[in-house]
Amino acid sequence: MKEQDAGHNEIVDTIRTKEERSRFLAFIEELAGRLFRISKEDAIRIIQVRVPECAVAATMRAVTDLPADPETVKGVFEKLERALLALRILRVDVAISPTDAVIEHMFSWVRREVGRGIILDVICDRTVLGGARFVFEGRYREYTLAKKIEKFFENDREYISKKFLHHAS
Amino acid sequence: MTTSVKGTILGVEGQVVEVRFSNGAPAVHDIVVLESDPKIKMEVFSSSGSETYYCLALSSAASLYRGAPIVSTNNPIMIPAGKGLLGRVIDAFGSPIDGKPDIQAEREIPIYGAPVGYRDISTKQEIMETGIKIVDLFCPFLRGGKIGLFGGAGVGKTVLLTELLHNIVILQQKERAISVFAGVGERSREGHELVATLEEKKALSAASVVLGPMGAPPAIRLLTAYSATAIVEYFRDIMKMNVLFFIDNVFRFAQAGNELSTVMRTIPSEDGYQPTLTSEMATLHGRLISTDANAVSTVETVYVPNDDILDQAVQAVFSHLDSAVVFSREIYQQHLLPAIDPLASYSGALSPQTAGELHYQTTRECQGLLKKAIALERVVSLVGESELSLEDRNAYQRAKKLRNFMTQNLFVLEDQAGIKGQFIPLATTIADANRILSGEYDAIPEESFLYIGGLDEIAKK
Amino acid sequence: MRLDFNNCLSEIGEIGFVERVVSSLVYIEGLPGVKPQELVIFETGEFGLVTAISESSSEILSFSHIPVRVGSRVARTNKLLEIPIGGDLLGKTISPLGKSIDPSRPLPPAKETRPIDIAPQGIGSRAKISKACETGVSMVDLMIPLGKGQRELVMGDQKTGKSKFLLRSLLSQIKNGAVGVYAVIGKNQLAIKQIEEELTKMGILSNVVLIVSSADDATGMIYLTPYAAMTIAEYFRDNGRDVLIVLDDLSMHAKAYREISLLGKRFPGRNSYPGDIFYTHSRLLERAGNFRTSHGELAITCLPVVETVQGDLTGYIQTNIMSMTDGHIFFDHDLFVEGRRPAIDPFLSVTRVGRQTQTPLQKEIGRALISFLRNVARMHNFASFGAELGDHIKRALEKEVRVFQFFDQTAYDRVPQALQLFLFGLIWGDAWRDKSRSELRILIQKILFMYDSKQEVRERIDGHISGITRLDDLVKALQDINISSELGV
Repeated sequence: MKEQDAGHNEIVDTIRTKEERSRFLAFIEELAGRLFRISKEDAIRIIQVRVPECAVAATMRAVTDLPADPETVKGVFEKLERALLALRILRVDVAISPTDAVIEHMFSWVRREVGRGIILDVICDRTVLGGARFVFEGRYREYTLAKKIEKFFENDREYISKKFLHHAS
Repeated sequence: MTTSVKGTILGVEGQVVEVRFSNGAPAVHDIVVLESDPKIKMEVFSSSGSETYYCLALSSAASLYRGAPIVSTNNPIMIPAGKGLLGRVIDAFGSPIDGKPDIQAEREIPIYGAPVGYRDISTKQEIMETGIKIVDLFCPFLRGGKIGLFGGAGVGKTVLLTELLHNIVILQQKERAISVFAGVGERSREGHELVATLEEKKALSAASVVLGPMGAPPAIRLLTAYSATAIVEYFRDIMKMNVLFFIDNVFRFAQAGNELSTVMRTIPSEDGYQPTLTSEMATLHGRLISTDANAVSTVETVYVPNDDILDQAVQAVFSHLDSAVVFSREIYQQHLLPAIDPLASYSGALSPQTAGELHYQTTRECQGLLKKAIALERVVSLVGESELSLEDRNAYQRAKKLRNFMTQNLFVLEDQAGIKGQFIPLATTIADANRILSGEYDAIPEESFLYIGGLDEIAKK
Repeated sequence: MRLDFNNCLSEIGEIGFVERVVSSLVYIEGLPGVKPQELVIFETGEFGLVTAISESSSEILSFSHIPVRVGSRVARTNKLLEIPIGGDLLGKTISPLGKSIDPSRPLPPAKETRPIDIAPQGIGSRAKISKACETGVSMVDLMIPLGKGQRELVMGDQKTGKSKFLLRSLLSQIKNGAVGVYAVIGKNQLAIKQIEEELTKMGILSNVVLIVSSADDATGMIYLTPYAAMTIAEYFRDNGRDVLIVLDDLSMHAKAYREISLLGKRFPGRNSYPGDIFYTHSRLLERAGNFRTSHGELAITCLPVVETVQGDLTGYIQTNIMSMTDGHIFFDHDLFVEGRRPAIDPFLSVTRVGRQTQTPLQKEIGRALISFLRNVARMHNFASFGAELGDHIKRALEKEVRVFQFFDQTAYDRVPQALQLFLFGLIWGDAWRDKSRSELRILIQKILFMYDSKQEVRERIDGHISGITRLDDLVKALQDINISSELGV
């Protein structure tokens, strides 16, 4: 049993984003539907197609170690599903379309500084201009360039508008 | 050393706070406070799950938030008790609201208590004269018993309660009892006027007033009834005095319980009330019983919502009363005040043993006459009085005179009506009723019987 | 802190997302530190009020006209629901959140705000009601008198003349120096405009604050209206003025609250109203009364309105409010149809604390009128038997006609107190015995007009009344006067 546990923890640890989690959950659902009729070869093929890159290796290992009886397999999948759903989501709004390298960078930082059990939801929002906006379990922090610019103008609005009007006239 | 039971707030709705206790279970009625501000108090009301509880916010709920740590004080609500309560006006927590300093207490007492033990219950029966003709004749007040004033909105319940308070407490100082007045869910103006009246007539020093007006949140209104009851018990059992207890209005006590149970999503019972309505009423009334040692005489107003006397909260009160004074809107609209229905009202004191043979027989005859008149009313409205047989006509007219005679000018309405109130001794009422029944006043027009005191006010022809 | 969405979001640092929308109730997840009764702001800039908080979500009463979208964002403001107040509100028409509903009459920014839903004051600051609250409507001032600080329910079927009465009471009180607050609760836009116009025509709009919500506003806004109005009334009281506040009408308010409660899955009680419908109105009405303030004794007199159906006095909301107010004035549909104005039933109407504010003469007149009208009503039953009517019955019926002509105020809005006594003295005695209905009407109108416009007439009439304390004396004094010479025509 310990091996199985280690196996599924290993899988969960590789998931980095909300999107990756959704894909993995869809994969579990598909496999669960075909539990009684699938061969190992088919399973491996489905893994390669459905499972996100980051989790493929771990999933392969876990599947090859699985016992044959469907009841245990079902139990393992249910545990996996619950563990995935228990992951907490940190949403990050950035101005750029995040590449895999960027995501990996952000994710390792969170894993290192905060701990396990947290995955990212990275959104591209141009209005941010630079920096980022964070939402985690109802908490909200904004460290965006847009905000800083807004504050700058707000404080000096009167002065600036006078200056410009002056110039215009 | 008991460790404090600690918990966190899970949710808040209105005045009901849901709380989870992690390291133990608090007792129902325990006070729990915010760890960060012990002035913010809540009372444990019931379980909501295996480790979760519903608590009543006792102050504004605005400072409560999800996740706030709370700690139990391991004590229920306690109020100060002692001679220091006399002459004072307090709220449900024992804090003064009359602008004077805190109550000098001899001890602190919990506001919840158990009903009087079976052995100690007194079965003594004795009539207490009120001076109000219709009450004394048809639904006399039992000393040490409970009398309920039932009526819809604006028919005169509070007026009658104030009149009873005036006649018993102020006029008959010989009663030698302490009074406790509980304003549960009634108008602030009335509470204020009551205190002013008691002060003016120098009766406040023998009274204790607890107010929880209709503008207060439901938890406060509910607790006001309990606090006042605890004070009555203290005066009865510890200070060993006879107590007169006035509660205006006991329906609001049931209503407050209903408001709270709705928020706690208890499945409602008949008429939408909380399923515990009957037991709540029973517990409250069970504590207000006279013991062999001391009497507790209770006057309670019971509001009848929607004029529906079959309302479950109203019905729940009936079985605890010795006398019921039932008001009628029809009679009120006919301007026969006090607007009491003499056939719907009753009293357990109306037995030959307690009231005496004369009183008992007189009342029975009067009720019989009034009942007959109702039956004759229909005939009269169709063909007129002149078509009745002589015997029936006499009965019909005597009944009208009797009914008119039952109207009375009240002391508490002197300000409004400009006419002085009157206290009519029971003996006079009984004697005068018999004189009408005997036909002695057949020649006098029925209007002459309206708003007089005794029959001797009518110049006999 | 500026109350805009982005500002709140960054200042407080908490965010919520809308999960479910059920009409005006919005359920959100997030906002971990949210407090009960807190004001929240949606990303559209619209506001909501936190009504319940549970472990996983919070329930919010939305004030937004347009339905909130699932998935949209919400921020905390860390404030309770407050309304901006100040003397600038006079003459303006505002929403319960304090915005002017007429863009051409904007409000200057307020220096002060106050929470809308506060606890009523205790007995320590109350004073006994002792001053009369003149309505300018003779029938009410003489038979169902009101006192300053009284709560008097105005009820009746629709279109029985309640609005006219309310407007006239406002007129009289404003002429007496009070401030008017008129809460229009969930009526249609046309009705709101008409009220505004009436107030303008009477020349008193600049002394009234109108707080309005229309029938198609969010139910939450309709719910807030009377509380906001009461807060404004309290502001003026605290600044040294008497206030007359009209709540038109509370039956609509009850229905709005019922809707919110049922949507929020609170168990329905009697007539499907929620268990705390009583408290909803009691904590509102208890904020009115006669108070001891630093500026002396000041009153908030409240006229809540409840519409009845087919004259049913015993309805649930009606009896609830009757048990809170200090009396009720009942407008009867049948009387209205018969042509009686005002269509008030004097036998069913009650005033619990008004009579103590009257002079002995007024009290005597009130008693005389009510007992007279009762006796005459009995005579009517008699008269319909077709029997020969005795002389005294004929005279009583004629007198009744004079009395109702006197009460009929269709053409004029305000009868000052002295004039009420003067006119009553004339119609009560035999001075006008032989005048026809129309002669009476014209005569009364003439007197009113002259009293209003000519100072000498006013002084002369006031002179006749002064010093008289008994009804007999009044009638005697006015028996032989010559009206034409009095009016100087």
